[in-house]
Amino acid sequence: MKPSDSDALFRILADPTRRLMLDLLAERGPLTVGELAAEFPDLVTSGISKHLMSLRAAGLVCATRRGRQQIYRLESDAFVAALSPWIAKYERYWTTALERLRDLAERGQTKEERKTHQRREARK
Amino acid sequence: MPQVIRSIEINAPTSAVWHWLATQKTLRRWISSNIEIDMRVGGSYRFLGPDDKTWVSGHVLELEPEKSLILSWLEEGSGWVNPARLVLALDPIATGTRVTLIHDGFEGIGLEDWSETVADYERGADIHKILDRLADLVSSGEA
Repeated sequence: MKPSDSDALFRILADPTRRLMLDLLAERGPLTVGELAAEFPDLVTSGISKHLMSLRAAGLVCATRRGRQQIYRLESDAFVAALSPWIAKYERYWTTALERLRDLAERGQTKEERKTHQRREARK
Repeated sequence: MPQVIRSIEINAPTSAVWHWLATQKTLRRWISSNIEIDMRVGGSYRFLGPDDKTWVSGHVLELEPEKSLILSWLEEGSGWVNPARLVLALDPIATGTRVTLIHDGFEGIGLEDWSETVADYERGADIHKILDRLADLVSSGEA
């Protein structure tokens, strides 16, 4: 991921209203603009639209038209894609770290440590 | 929301597994050989991360012996404004212990308003505020 991509994503997510919109879509599934607006009684419709536009521009939500209504849904793939470099790195890291923990708790040493020890023994 | 969940079953009682989570010395054996950690709630930690070039730092958010260790998790110099979270939970099972690791909160790592809370926290103002914020982030990340 380019730094500019993550910066843009972070700017979008920095706004509490937009985060709440994402939460609502995540919890309740696709919602119409009216349903979303009902959750933000203090916001005018144009304010709601502006937030939805920026979420759309970032690829975090998508909209489909049903009759006269726009229905918004979460683009969870976009979310995962934006954050995936970190996720992938930590997935690898934690898998091996937990194996080290298991070896330590069960045997008192990790696989790497056993190998080092065996090499040292072999040299004797 | 994206998160990393891993669990592993260990043929040892929770007390024996906790030993490896309980001190800087034992954490150095499996998390990172260079970790510096003040093992108490609110204590800070820092180590050279998984890629061997980025430093990771944060604080101990929760510490419950033989049950759980929760750390805030910030990659320095990666544009993160707000830390993610690392949860390590131990559960007794018939064959020993199940260790569950949840690394979450990634969706919040760029929140600009977080910096105020972190500043408060560094002044020692209110640790619970940070926990509340984390709780919010985590519940928002569940779906």
